[in-house]
Amino acid sequence: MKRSIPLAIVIILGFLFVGYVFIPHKISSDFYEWYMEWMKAMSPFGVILGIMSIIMTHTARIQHKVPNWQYSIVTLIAMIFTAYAGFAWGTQEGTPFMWLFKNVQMPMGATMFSLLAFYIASASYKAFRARSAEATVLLLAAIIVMLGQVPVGVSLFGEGINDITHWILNVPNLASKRGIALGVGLGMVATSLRILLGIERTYLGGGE
Amino acid sequence: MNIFERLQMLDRRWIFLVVAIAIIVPLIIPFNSKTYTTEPTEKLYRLIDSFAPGQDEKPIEKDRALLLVFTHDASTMSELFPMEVAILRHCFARKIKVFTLTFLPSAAPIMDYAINTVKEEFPEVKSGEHYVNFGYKIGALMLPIILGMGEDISEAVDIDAEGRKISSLPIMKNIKNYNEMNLIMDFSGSSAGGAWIVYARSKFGANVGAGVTAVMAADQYPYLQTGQLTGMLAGLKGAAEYEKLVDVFATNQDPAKREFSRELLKDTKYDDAITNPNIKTKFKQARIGMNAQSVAHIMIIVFILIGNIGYFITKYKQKQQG
Amino acid sequence: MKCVKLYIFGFIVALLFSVGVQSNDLYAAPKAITDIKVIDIPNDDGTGLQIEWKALPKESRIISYRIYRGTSKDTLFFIGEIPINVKTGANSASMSYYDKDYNEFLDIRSPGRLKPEKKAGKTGPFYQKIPKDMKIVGPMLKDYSILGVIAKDEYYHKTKKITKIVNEKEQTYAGLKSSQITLVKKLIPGKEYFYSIIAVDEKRNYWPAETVASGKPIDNEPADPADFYATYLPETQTLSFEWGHPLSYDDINTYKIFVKSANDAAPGKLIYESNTPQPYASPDYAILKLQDQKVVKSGNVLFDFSKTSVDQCEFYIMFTDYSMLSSMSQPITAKYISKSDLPVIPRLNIIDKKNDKGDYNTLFWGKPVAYINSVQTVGKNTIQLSYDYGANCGYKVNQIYFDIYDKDNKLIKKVNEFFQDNIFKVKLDQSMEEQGELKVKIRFKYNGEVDEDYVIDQKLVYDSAIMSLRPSKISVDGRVLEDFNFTLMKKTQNTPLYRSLKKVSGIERESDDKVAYESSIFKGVSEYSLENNMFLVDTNIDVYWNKDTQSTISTSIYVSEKDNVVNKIKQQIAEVEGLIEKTNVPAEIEYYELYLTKFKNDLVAIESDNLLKEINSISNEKLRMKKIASIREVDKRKFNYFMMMSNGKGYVVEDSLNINEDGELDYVIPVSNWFDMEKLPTLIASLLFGMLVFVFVTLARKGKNLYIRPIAGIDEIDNAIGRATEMGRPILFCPGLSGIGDVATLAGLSILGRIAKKAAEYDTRILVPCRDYIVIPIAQEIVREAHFEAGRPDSFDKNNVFFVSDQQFAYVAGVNGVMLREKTATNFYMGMFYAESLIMTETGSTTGAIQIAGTDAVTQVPFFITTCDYTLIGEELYAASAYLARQPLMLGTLKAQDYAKFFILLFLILGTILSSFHITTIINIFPNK
Repeated sequence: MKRSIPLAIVIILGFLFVGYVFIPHKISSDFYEWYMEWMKAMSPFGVILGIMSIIMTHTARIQHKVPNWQYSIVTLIAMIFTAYAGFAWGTQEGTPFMWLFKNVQMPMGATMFSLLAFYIASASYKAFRARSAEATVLLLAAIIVMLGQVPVGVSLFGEGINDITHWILNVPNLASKRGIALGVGLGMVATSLRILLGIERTYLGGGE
Repeated sequence: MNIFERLQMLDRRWIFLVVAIAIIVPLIIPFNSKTYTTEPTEKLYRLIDSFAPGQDEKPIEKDRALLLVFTHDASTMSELFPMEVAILRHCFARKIKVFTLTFLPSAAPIMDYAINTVKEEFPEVKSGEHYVNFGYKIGALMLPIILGMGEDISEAVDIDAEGRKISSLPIMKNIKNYNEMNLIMDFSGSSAGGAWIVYARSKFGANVGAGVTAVMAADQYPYLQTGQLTGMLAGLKGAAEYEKLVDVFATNQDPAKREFSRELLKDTKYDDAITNPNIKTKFKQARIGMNAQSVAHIMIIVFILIGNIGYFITKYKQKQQG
Repeated sequence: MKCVKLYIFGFIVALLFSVGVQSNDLYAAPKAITDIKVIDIPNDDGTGLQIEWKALPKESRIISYRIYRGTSKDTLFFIGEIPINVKTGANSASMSYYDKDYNEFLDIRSPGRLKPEKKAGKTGPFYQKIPKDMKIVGPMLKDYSILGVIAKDEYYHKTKKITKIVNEKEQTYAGLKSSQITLVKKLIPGKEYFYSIIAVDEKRNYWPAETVASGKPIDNEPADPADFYATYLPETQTLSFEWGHPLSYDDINTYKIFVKSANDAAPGKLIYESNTPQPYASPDYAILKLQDQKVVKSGNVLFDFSKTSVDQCEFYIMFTDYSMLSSMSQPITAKYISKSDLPVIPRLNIIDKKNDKGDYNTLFWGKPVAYINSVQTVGKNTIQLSYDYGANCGYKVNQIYFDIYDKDNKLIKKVNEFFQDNIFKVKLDQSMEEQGELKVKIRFKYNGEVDEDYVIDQKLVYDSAIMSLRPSKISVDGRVLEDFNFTLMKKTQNTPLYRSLKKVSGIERESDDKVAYESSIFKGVSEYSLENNMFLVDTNIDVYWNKDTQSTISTSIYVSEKDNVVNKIKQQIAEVEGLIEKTNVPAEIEYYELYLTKFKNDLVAIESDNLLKEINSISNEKLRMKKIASIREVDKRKFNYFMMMSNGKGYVVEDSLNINEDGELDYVIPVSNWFDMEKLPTLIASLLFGMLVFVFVTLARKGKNLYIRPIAGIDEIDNAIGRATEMGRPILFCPGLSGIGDVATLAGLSILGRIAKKAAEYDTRILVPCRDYIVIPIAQEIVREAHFEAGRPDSFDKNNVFFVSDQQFAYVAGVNGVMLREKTATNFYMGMFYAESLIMTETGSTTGAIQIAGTDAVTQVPFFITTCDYTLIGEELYAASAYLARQPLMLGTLKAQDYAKFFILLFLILGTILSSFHITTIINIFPNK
């Protein structure tokens, strides 16, 4: 029972939504809209799951005094304070919540994002080795594209480098992207079909 | 362990340090580098420049205008903001009528910021006469506004960001719909121009241009190829090119040289922009940024080469030993 | 430990600082507005006011202006807000707010009780939005003209019948709670309204303005008509007029056109009068057919042009609004035109839009058009021409022929566009500048035949400003298409007036018209019931238009009140009869008689209406309303369409009316479709794929050995788990950043199931940080089940599957922290990833972990390949779970997938080859979307 009811829900709703794709009729789109309203109403409850998970994980860490448990205190305080700031003063422009968002959340996010520049450098240093013929092609393409993006490239090799860069991006690169996209599309259909037909049930927990 | 083996095992923190220096130094210490302009940018520049009033013409009388649409938030500002500033500077310098509009609440402050940044340098430019900020309109109104502007801009937009009736503004003289407001530039971090291409372009024949981040440029090229996009500025590079064109032509000291010409572009005396104190830093942000990008790209390429040299020598040695 | 204390200290200092900044007042610039003006909006219907005030300087650090309105000085309610960029301040010296048209009065977000803006003083006069409290909002209803918007089901079935004595008469109303109705308001002309403004600074302090200003909206005459044009076509004796759409047309009731002799000082004669289809936009043109040079209306000669010829006459137009205020245009003369100046208008066709929900009609007209839209250089003297083409459902374009000539009419190239990719290239002998001009002739092959008589001409002229050839306007038979626009119109059955739908360019060939399903009912609201806590609205509803009696049949929504409408008409008849008896002025009697006849006709129509009798024979309220709805909703969506073509300057051509076989106007209604035919290929492909799965699953069950290509990344999963076990360190599993609705996440979670089971068997800890709330319990359940199956329920710890953050980069920071602190030996990344992928994997590779990634995000694949030991690219992610399971059912689907891919490739190659030989059948099978 514990498995078969959820499975039945998945299969029935799954086929209904497949039907929605092919049936433009008012009944079908009204059903879809009605369902979407419920989705919107349901999703805020998910936040509770997240908050509970954070509280449970971190209180357990503090209780068991696992290494670096102090960080958990910071996390909990930050969470409670931010939530309090939002509830007490609102979330409009000019409130403490907005201040925290603009001066803590945004710069920290931007910092993480800018790490990419460093990591791309170190990753390409390690990865781009002319180990084989294919790797050499990859390496050369990477260098040409990188040069094509900056004026130095044109200074060194003339305007032709722009055309080569465009060609690399638009022909071999696009071709392989489309090839992958094709496989992804089929893979999605196959996986969805497995789930719809109840062949794949791992996502419900447990084995077959 | 010899030097090559050491290079092979190089601690990545050294790489981080070098990258940091390579990026920060060009930003702090300016140096000149040549900016090469490409055809899509030049084409866009020339189209916008063709909206400029003639020598004997009053700017208000001109029946051409440009609409800038801001469809991005602060996260992609580093790439898109220099473009917006460069185009606004072009418009203000050449007295081209320009409108600004956004459907994103988070873009409204950026729009204000861009206008004010450029306006400071052009005290003679007046809101309502040379430009109008249509302001933020809610997303639900996007389609009605895009379609409505095909008939009558004053009616579709109604009120500008300062609360004035559009129809009462002097700038609207000779400007009615897309026939006059002939170019729309959409700046976006994702797919730019979408709705404008579908509605303003195919229904009313308006020209649509796009300003996009470098990452998204590849996805937008097909539209450029099919002519659905009239022009495109891609990332910091596009912005840098436009900055240069504005420097060379639109703000040229000699009024006779303000029209586009290939010969003038080849003149090397315009290559000292970055160290030229007469050009405000805010008007060369993209070119300074491109300097940093150039150095960083070169650094990475150098690292790759060093890594490969190390790899081959080590392999060669192993072969000899083995 | 010391370090951690420092962290906490720093955090608290930061918090204190932030609060400190909040309470410190660093600026001394003025904050309160001193001068507010309330101005009547000109040319409107008397329902609009403009509130104007002087903007505060940038130094005041204002982030928004909040506007308040009331009908007395001491109670003002919040009505709107204008945000200001704190850094730059307001852009101009004066700010405005327009309080006009129907806008928000009361809705679901309104507060339940009266709430003062505490920051601006607890005792008023500033209050938050108008509250739902009937004691307060009820008496306010009379101060505005209020419209209620009610969801149709609420109005049909969920109202309460309430009787109330109004004007000493007992009236029945439908009562609705504030949660069932949204109220919008308009100001009442001539009534005084009070306004004030609060400036809000960046610390959210409220600075009320020093004054409360007041003003009265005044009903003004409409704006002066502009752009009025007249033309006269002597061949057909047709006078045509066209005028600009008035800016504020919300209360224009009639258009009148007058004529007078140019030398005559006397006032003009009325020759045309038409009502406007309020509240919809009106088509702004008129066509008068003269009879023997005379304007004749119902037998009366209104003007005789044989006495004063058209060229000696002046025309002017008058706009009149509902209060009989009017404005007049400048006199103009008619321009003489000939038939050849006018375009030939194509026939308008209307069909139901295919494959839709049934809320669109497709309107189409004319033959397809194509035109060059841009020219680019793509090499020495080679140009690339892009073109657009507009076709409609009447024509299936097979091929487009472009013949390119130089300026001396020498043919340069013939291009045959069989596949419309909208680009082709032309090689010129010289540069664009030297070429100067190109001429393009465009012809079509449509519906299988070449139309040789239909040729579109276009010139490409060199423009030195853009240094390129610029496409010019297109023409057919010498008539430029872009010079004329089409105006599409439609009307319902109960009115003779067409409303203007939209104006489309002369090169458009198709347009969809939305005929929305009715979802809301609009009713005026002026009464309320305090004891029921309800707003009261009228109970009558239109049922349908009876075309035999030419009247709208309406009835009450309550069975008990079904004779309501009849009684009301009878009452009106009695009243009018009373009036006739009282007066003896013949003009008044004539006027009243008109009404009397109308009311009597209505009475007969309603009493004799069979459909209404049928409705009223149903005694069950719900069934009766359902019957009414089923008739009403069909009837309201019937439209007759009409089209005209003009250049905005009086060159007007009308299409003929759309008439059915019986000679009556043809009213169409869109149909809701049961199957989207455009998706038929998708359905067939899906069914074929399903069949392939079935075949291979059956084969696998029968024990046939199915070969599956080995995937290194998947084969290596076991070793990676083993490595973590050997090292005694945990495994990290990252299920991607998207939610449970993404198939990639589902695929990732399926793999988690297999990995968690292995890990549980080896007794290795598995950490699953999540970004999506809904994924947490699912992942927990999967890991828990895996532990149970492995026979180690005791080793399951719920807290190993945990939530980090739903912010992208905060999540990455959290995961990186876990990697560094827990020293995970094996990291799996399975699902959807964005820009953060490299930051995670690069950190993972620093800690020396074995990393296996799987994603369908094409843009992130390169990052995974460079930093991970194994990467499952795209479809391999989806295959992984099935591959690991090694069950016939699962393997069957994998095998089917391979064959499906084979078929797709087959079609790709076939399509490419065939279309190279101009055979586009295969390509055209597939839908464009």
